[in-house]
Amino acid sequence: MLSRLQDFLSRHRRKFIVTGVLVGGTIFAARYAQRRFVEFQEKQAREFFERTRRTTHFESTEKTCNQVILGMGEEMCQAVLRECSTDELLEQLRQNPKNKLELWEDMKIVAFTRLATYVYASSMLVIALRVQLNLLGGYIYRDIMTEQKQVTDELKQQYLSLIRHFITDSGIRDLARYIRTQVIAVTKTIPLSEQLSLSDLEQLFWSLQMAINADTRRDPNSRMSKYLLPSQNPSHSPLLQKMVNETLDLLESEDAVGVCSHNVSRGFVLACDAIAESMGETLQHLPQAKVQTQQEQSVKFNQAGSLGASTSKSQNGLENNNLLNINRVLLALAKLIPIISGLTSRGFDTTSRPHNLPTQLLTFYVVAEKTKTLGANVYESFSSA
Amino acid sequence: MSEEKKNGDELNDLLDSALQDFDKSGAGDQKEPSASSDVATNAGPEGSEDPDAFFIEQAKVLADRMNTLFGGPDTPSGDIPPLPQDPDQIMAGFKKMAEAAALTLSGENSATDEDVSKYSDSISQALKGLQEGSENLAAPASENDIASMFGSLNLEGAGEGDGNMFLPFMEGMMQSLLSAEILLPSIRELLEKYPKYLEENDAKLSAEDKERYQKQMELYKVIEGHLQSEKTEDSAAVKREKFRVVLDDMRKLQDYGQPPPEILAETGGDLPFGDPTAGVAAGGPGPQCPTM
Repeated sequence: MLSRLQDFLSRHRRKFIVTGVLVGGTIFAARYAQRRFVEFQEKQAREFFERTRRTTHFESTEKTCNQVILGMGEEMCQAVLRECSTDELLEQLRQNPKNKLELWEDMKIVAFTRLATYVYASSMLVIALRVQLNLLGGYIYRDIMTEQKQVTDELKQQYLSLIRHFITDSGIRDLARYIRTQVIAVTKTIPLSEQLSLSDLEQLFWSLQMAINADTRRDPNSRMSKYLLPSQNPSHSPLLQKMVNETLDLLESEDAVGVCSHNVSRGFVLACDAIAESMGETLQHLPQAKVQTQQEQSVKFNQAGSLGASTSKSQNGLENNNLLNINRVLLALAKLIPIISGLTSRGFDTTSRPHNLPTQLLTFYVVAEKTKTLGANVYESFSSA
Repeated sequence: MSEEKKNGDELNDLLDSALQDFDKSGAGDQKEPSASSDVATNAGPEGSEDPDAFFIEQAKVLADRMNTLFGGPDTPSGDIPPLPQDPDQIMAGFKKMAEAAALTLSGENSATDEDVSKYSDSISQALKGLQEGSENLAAPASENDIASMFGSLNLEGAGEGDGNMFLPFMEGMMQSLLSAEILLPSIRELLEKYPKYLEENDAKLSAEDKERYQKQMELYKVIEGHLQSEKTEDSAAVKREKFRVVLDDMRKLQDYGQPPPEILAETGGDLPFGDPTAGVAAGGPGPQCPTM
């Protein structure tokens, strides 16, 4: 019997050998796959943590960026107020001088110039600071990842001080003067006694925006970098000069120009909303003004019969005292100028209630999604280059 | 003539009314904080006539700002939510009130100096924020290491758990297959046949084949030694260790290729990979299996 068993094993020993090798190979392969799986999981974990760290650093940079925008925005508003001041004109007007009409024309120009400068300057400042701080944040992240220290505190100070050219040097002054020339061109044909509705005002702002954007050499959207940053400075270190050049390229890119144009359009819409709100307050708090407006419309009706229909609607709206008719109320340009000037007479102030127009503009630009996306793209590019 | 005069008067009245609007709406570059619309409306007509009204208005403005500051989140925020009312913000508010008072008393130069100072504050704020971001970035590094360690331990544990369900069964089966009782007789028989075969076919074999077969024979001797060292009273751990050694030797054996065809033929013609010619040749002179 044992001999039979031995013969059986002898006849089939090759099968046993082959089976053993196959089983051993399978065990080895299973162990190998397990080890590879563990390595894959560790690699995934490392990638996840790196992404988390970068996201955390980016959010910290964003928070810093928002604080800087609000801090510098306040100074920008002060600069605009200095450049487009109405104090002197008001003092002269209160003395009822001979050249009253000329002064009123100047007041009209200053009011519109100040409003438009606020809209454009706020948008440009927010975009510039987002680009600058996200570029700097990307460099800092790269330094930390590569254990180097290229970006020194002095370099940060110098780089962030470049925006001074816009706020305290000639940037806002040049911008305000350019916008003033366009305001003169657009509003010189509108007399002070012209009756304007809200849609007329929107049309006026649209015309002003088109005029400002039309000049390809001085258009604030496409020539942002010229107003915002100083020209070449030979005393810059190589790395600082490289960062400045990258910033100029970014500000001249289509993305930045597109975001600025979009922000400016939204800014003028906010301005119209603020003006409408002030118009409502004016009409409610000043009954005698309402009477004057109605009388003026009656006179106009007598002089120009073709405006009868709209005038009748306006009169009905006034009689009903219905806020929904704010869009059909007519108001003389001369009475709009105090409203526009009042909206922009104070700078950025987070503690006032309700917020004035510069505060609304700057806050809106800070939370604008397109601007945030632009900043995120800049950070992504420079933190992984 | 009379119509022209009438239009002039109308425009004059319009402009005077607008000028009053400037006073009522608080227009102009006043550096003072803005008052509420009611206060402005009430104080407007009397502003230029009564100097005391100015101070009353300022007192109301200060009271309003106090309420705003200490009201905190409860204060109505309007369209856009205000910034958080942390102590730094309150200090900033007080600073702004002080600056507003200073601006009321001083001229343009003071404003310029204030602007430069605030500008430097913004730069310092930016540097501090970036530094804080960098420090936050450095801090998660240790956290990352700890999390990676936890992840590795967890994954390895899971891996072991998965493997343990499968590997012990296979190891047990292999131990049975490669045990001495089953494998040792086959190895011994091979070792008996290898010397005879090499001696008989020394002239026919190439040097390469001869060397290969020699190595196979030596490896079989090694395996025989390992199998002979096994004993029934060995512990499970020792058995597993010896099993692994035998398994490695078997794997090495495959690297030396096929055993000699004649030796395979002598074991019988039932192997599927046997050589047909060898099978036929072995049929005649080879020993026959005993039949029952």
